[in-house]
Amino acid sequence: MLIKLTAGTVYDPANSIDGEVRDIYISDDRITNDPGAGAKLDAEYDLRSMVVMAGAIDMHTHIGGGKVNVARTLMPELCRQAPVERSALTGSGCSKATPSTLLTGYRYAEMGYTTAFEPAVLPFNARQAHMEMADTPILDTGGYAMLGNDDFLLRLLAEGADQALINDYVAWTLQATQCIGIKVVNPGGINAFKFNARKLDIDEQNPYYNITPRRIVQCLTHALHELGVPHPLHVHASNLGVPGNFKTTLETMNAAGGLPLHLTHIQFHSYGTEGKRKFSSAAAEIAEAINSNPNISADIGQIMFGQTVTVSGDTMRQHANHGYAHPNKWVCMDIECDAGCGVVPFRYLDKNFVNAMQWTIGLEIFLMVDDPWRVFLTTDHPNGAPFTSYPHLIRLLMDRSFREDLLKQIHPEAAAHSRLSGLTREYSLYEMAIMTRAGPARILGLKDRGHLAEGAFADITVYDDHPNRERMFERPAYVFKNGKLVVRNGEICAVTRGATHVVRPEYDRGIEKSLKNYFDRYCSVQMDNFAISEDEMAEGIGSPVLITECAARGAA
Amino acid sequence: MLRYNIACPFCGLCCDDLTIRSEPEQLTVEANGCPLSERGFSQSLDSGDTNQQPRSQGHACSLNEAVAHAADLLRDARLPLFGGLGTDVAGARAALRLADRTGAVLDHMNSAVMLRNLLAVQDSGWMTATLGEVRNRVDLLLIFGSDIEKHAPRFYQRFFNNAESMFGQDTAVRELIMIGSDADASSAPGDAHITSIRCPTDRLGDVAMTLRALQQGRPLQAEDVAGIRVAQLREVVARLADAHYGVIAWATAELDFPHAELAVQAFSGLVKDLNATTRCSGLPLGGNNGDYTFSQVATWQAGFPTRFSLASGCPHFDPIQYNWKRLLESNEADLLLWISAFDAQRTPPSGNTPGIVLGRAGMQCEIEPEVFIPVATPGLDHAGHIYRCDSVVALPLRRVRVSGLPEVSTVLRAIMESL
Repeated sequence: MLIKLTAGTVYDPANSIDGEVRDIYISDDRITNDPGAGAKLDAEYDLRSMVVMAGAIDMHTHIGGGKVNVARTLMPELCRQAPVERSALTGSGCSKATPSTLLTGYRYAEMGYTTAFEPAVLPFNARQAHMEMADTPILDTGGYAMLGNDDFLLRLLAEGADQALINDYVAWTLQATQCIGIKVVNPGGINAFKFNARKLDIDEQNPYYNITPRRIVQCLTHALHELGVPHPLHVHASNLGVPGNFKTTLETMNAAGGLPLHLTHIQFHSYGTEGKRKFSSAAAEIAEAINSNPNISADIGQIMFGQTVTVSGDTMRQHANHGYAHPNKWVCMDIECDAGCGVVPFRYLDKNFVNAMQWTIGLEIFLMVDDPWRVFLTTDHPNGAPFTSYPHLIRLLMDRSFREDLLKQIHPEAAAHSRLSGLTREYSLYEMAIMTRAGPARILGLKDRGHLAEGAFADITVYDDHPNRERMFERPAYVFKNGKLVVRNGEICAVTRGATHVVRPEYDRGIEKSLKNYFDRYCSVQMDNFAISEDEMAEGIGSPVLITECAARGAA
Repeated sequence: MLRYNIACPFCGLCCDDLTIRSEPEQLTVEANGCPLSERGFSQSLDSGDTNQQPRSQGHACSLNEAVAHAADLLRDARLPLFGGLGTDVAGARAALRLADRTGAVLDHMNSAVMLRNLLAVQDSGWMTATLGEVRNRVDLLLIFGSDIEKHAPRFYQRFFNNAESMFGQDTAVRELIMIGSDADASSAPGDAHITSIRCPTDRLGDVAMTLRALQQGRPLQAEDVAGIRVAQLREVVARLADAHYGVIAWATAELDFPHAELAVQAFSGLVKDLNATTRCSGLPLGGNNGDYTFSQVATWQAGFPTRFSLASGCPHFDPIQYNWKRLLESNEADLLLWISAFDAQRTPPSGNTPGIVLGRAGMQCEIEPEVFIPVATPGLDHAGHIYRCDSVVALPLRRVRVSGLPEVSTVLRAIMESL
């Protein structure tokens, strides 16, 4: 199958192509060079005056695993408000806040996304995360396994174990849970909450292990660096949502000691205590720190106004915030001495001072971080807003006058406090392609995604160059997944199944002996039944693995 | 042949440490069994007649013929009902897909029990812990009810009387309070410090609400509630408040009285209240025939756990309207597709609604269905996945014998393709 995409305006930052008119050829599932005049084309698309980018990649979106299903269980009214009918091609479901898996796949594809990563895979719940993602059509997926609140790691740290042993455990976890990265959520804090601690700052000791969050971040950062896992430690820092938490966030950056570190939904971690309400933006301090520390990257976790439901492994903070639940119902779960799950429905209001500040803080960070390769477009779906609000967010970033108009509608004191009206920056299409394609592919080590050079998988999105960027990004003209046309004029025209991105760092299998002993003594599942095999991924779970290479660096 | 570390699909604990002896005609639980697993693994494949062969209108036929007949019936049905739904993740996925295509109602055979928890969660949420968390942390276990071992036979053995815990706790000094109709039953574990408080099952919600009131320091006029002295309940509250990690558990199936969801809500409210100052978690126990599995898969694919209709083209949930028993009794459903792959005894209800039955081999239906297809049992005849009652851990099921029977998912996909 040979397809020619003719004369589109191409934005391909990984290959430094900034709005050049080019032809792109697809041979089966990959992009290929011009096959020459004699080649017989099976299809040709005239893309004159249209914008061509790689398929978008969401590097942080909660689309799989128990917490999303808990949210659906807790909030049947959301599902009831937005039922979606089946069609000859697509299955039915619901589409609000936490869409059903089928709808998640369709909606992402309809917005030009071809890959998405679930950032909070609890190791004991990894099967469910992968099963849900396998039931999310079209998208390739992947997960970050959560460590740093699990007894085994904290025990190793408390015993003063060698970094090499920690590296083995991290590598084993990646393999056993079929994940591509490691996330830490409120390092040591979820665990501390189980011992009835209600807060844990970066240099406070966990009440049982006497280990600080800083130490946990350090050891995991080193482990991933030494194992050569492309994605740096994905950190949901301590003190989420707490006024004044920007200091903790800055200290968390320092904990990396110059090694790569990714701070997720940083908007929720950029709060100061200025003003009469003791709640202010620390976006400037955070953006300045990102700008001056090239080892640091962040995704934003932008909030949007409206009803959503927050899902997080951070039971300590979710429990602390349950008083804000709207409607007034919430779930917290302690899970397998491994991590936790907290689900709290939220309604962000533009006339609420704090919510309005949260909205401006996210946008301020977007606009004040200079390097688009180190900042990623997320709403921490569904926590800040559902992923379906991305086109609106893109317009906010690309269209200053639109931004100014909306700024006038929010709580007036929040608007007055914000630097937003002074920020004139408008993201370009090239920068948007970095933030939503080339950047995520690079930070995850995906060599043949997120760009349009020969050899890349043909995940391609084609947009009409509509001056209203929200319209442009919500309804691509064409989306190709692995070379197959799956979306035409913003609607699904074919349904495919995706695969799962994983890494397989080398490790000393000696760790498995200690783990077996540990599982036998303490765990509720046999070690044999905990680990997920490649065959199980392909067959029972239904999403075969795609392995991204690691380049081990060894101990420093 | 002996197979080790096999997961058992016959109750919500899904113990995965079983040793199974696999012989051509017989499976035997050699180690780590319980009455439910022994019954489940040993149910005969064949009750002596042609039960391994599909039947159409009572006549033995090929699988293809049975599938074609089933497809004909589904094509003509105005409101098909998919009931039973005793199957694994793959079977639930296939059932949902076929139901979406045929505009069916889906309701699991255990939905009346499942809703006692689900309605409480939908209304107010809860705080719970998974089995592994309980095993390593509980210092005070309060049980509402007295029949835990009937529904989860190895619960005490594996999660309360376990020899070691992660945090150096002496598990022998764990305390147990049972509040229930038969609270001094022999089912209670051996060494624990046990307090038994008798109370009629249908008053457990009242007791929990009294405990909440006492915990919140509200004045009470009554001197006893459900036959229990308030002073004794005050002591229970004090012990819960003093515990480092209390667990409040119930066997959902035991709460067999009207509006038991209000009792679950009261248990959950008590748990939430206690967490203002200490730690405490709820623990619903029980489950069988893939009920947790179906509700998980249905929730991620359709948004609802059970009792929903796809007749209008999109999911519509109504816990009263789509009760499978009501739909059959009122003759609103004109075709029943019944799936029971784990238990040959869970037969379709007798009634005049024509039926397609995918039953565990050996199933004897009271009334011969239009189509009967004997199916493989997940975890015995084929690999699969099943959920534990904490709705978090999904265990891999293994094939421990070769039966030649088709999987539920295979049959449903074949029907789909024949429509």
